[in-house]
Amino acid sequence: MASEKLVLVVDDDPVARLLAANIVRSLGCVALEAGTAAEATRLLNERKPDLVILDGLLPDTDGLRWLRKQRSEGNAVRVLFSSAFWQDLGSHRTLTDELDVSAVLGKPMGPGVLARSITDALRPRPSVPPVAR
Amino acid sequence: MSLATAPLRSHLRDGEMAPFPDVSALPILDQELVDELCRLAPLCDKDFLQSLLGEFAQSAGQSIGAMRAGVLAHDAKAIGNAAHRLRGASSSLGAVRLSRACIAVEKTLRGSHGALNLEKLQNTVDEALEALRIRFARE
Repeated sequence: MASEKLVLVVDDDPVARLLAANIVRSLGCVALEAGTAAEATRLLNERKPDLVILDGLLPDTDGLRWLRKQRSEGNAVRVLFSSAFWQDLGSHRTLTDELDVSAVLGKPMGPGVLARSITDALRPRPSVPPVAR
Repeated sequence: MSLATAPLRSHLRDGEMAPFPDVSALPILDQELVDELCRLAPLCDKDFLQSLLGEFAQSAGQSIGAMRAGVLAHDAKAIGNAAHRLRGASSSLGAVRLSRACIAVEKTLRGSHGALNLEKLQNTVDEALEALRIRFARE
């Protein structure tokens, strides 16, 4: 994996955040951490991370609402969405189809699952050939 | 009545006292997940496992404290939020018995009846912390 990728971990649970941040660093990336949506917004705008690992439940809003707002403002950052309520298929479709989430991860997840998901999400996307005029 | 076994009075009818969920048949830890954490440790920050343990102890203490305050205030939402936080922290570290106990608390609250035995929940936190301490010390 290319080094020095910036990954923002957004989770109000300090245990989950510490764990995810260490997994990010173990992959050679730089981890930024936010415990609230407000802090996440600040870091997103100031540091422009390559990937956001976003928890579904935050103290000041929920992850879905936060992400919808970022997309509506034109931010196309890659996102891994983690939630204990991932079985909600309605939200799952919204996340992948409407909000272009790279993957939805059910909590709890093992460190290996998260590491693989981060690696996959940071892979270069195939370039789309220009549309012929 | 002691705070340790306080029912959620605003949600209870007389005589309705659900027992603390019997989670004793479950293992304290998900060994597979904990082993995975230990394998990760050499790639992580120095004292990674001790930091995780410290954060977990602090977070669990805060959650139990919030539940006690919620019981005193008859605030089922505050208790549920604290149980949810404790569930998240415990499941991240593979503390399955504690995680299941927290799920049971959340279900009890949703079902609008039941009793919250904070003493037993505290014991479940303590046994999870001790098991993790012993396991991490081997690394």
